[in-house]
Amino acid sequence: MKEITRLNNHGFVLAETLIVSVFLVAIFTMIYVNFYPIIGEYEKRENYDDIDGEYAAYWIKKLIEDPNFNISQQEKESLNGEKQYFRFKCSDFLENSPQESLCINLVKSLEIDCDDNDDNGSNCQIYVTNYRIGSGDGTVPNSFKKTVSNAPKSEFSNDFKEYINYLPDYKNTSIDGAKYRVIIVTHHTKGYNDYVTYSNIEVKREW
Amino acid sequence: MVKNKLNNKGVTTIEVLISFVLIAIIANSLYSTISAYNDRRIIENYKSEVLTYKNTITKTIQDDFIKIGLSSVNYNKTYEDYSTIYQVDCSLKDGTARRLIITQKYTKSDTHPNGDPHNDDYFMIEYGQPDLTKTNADDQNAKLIEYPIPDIGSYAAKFENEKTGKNAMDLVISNVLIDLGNNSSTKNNNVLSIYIGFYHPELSTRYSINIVSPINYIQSSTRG
Repeated sequence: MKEITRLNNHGFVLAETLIVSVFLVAIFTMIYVNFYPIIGEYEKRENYDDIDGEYAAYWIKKLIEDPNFNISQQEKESLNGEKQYFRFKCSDFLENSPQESLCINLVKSLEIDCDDNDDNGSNCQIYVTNYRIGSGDGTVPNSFKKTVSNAPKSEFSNDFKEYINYLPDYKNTSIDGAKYRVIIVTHHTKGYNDYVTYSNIEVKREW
Repeated sequence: MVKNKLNNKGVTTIEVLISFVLIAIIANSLYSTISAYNDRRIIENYKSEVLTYKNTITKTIQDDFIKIGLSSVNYNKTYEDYSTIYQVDCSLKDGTARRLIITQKYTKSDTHPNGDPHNDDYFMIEYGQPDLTKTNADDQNAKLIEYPIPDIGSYAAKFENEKTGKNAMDLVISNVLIDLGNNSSTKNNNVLSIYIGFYHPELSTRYSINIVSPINYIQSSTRG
C-alpha cells in the first residue's frame, strides 16, 4: 500500500498566534518581575557593612570595651530580658571624663545617626545586643531579631529592620569569646551626601 | 507514491511587511533593555574602581592608626600654582611619623573657571613615612607612596577663547575636610577626621574616603 502524506500548509491561524504570544508575554513578565527585585536588593546591600561602617563600629566597640564604660541596672535588664538590647550612651562614661569627651567627639566625627538636638551622644542609633541576635530554630525565646521585627516603625525604620533580617543569627559562639555585638547606623552628610549605612561588630566585654 | 501538496506561492507583501514591523518592534525593545544594562555595567565598573581605591587607602591608613596608635597630629593647607595641598602629619605611638598629602589641581574649564589654564587636572594622594632627617620638603616626601586616583574617563575642557583643550578627568577630588575635633561641643583635639570626597558625573558625590581615629587614645586599665 502506498503512503499518502498530506501536509497542512495553511500555517498558523490568528488565534493560535495570539495564544502563543500571550503565553510568551506572561512568561517573560513573570521572569522580569522576579528578577528585578534582586537588583534592588543588591543596591541595598551596598550600604551594609561597608569599610567606613566597619571602622566606625570598631571604634565604638573600643569605647564599649573600655572598663570605664559601665551600664546601668536598667540597661542590663533590657539586654538580658525581652528586648535583648540597650542603646549606647556617652553618658555611661563618668561625667566630664576624657572618655566621655572622646566619645562625644567620636560619635560626631563618625556621623552616627543621632537625634537632631543631641549634642552629647546620648540618643544615637548605637545598639548593644547579645552576640547571638536570632532565635534560629526557635530554641531561644527572645532575640533582637524578634524585637526589631515586632517593633513599630516609630522605633525602628523599615531599612533597619531589613538590615537586621539580612544578618545571620550568629548561632555559633565567637572564636574570640565575644558575648555581645554592637550595631550602628551611620548617616553620611559630609560633601552634600545624604545616605544611611548599617554595620555591626562583635564586642568582647564582661558585665 | 508520495503525494506532496506544497504551497509554492511564496509570501505576500503584507506578510513580509508585518514580519518586518514585528521584528523592528522586538529589536527596538531589546536594544533599549540591553543598552540600559550595558550602561549599568559601566557604572558598576566605575563603582568597583573607586571602591578598590578607597578601600586600599582606608585600610593602609587605619592599619597604622589601629595597630600602632596615633599620638598627635599637625595639619596645614597651602595654595601653590593653582593647586590646593592638604598635608596631615601624624606621630605614631612607636615614635615613627606618617604623612598624608592630598593634592587637588583643576584645569581651567566651565565647571572650574579659576583652574589652571596651562595644565591638565591633577589629583594625587600620597601617604607613607616621611624622611624627617632631611630639611627639604621634596626630599622628606621622596619615599611617600603615590596613589593616583583611578582614570575612569576624561574630556577635553575648553574655556572661552582657549584654542586647545586641557584634559579634565571625570573622577575628581571635589571636597577635602580635615577636622581635629576642635569644632565639636567639647573643643578637645582628641579625634582626627579626614574626609576626601570624590565627584564623578555618573556617581555624583556618593563615594569618599573617610578616616576617623581617636588621637592619643589610651584605654583605661582600671574600672572607674
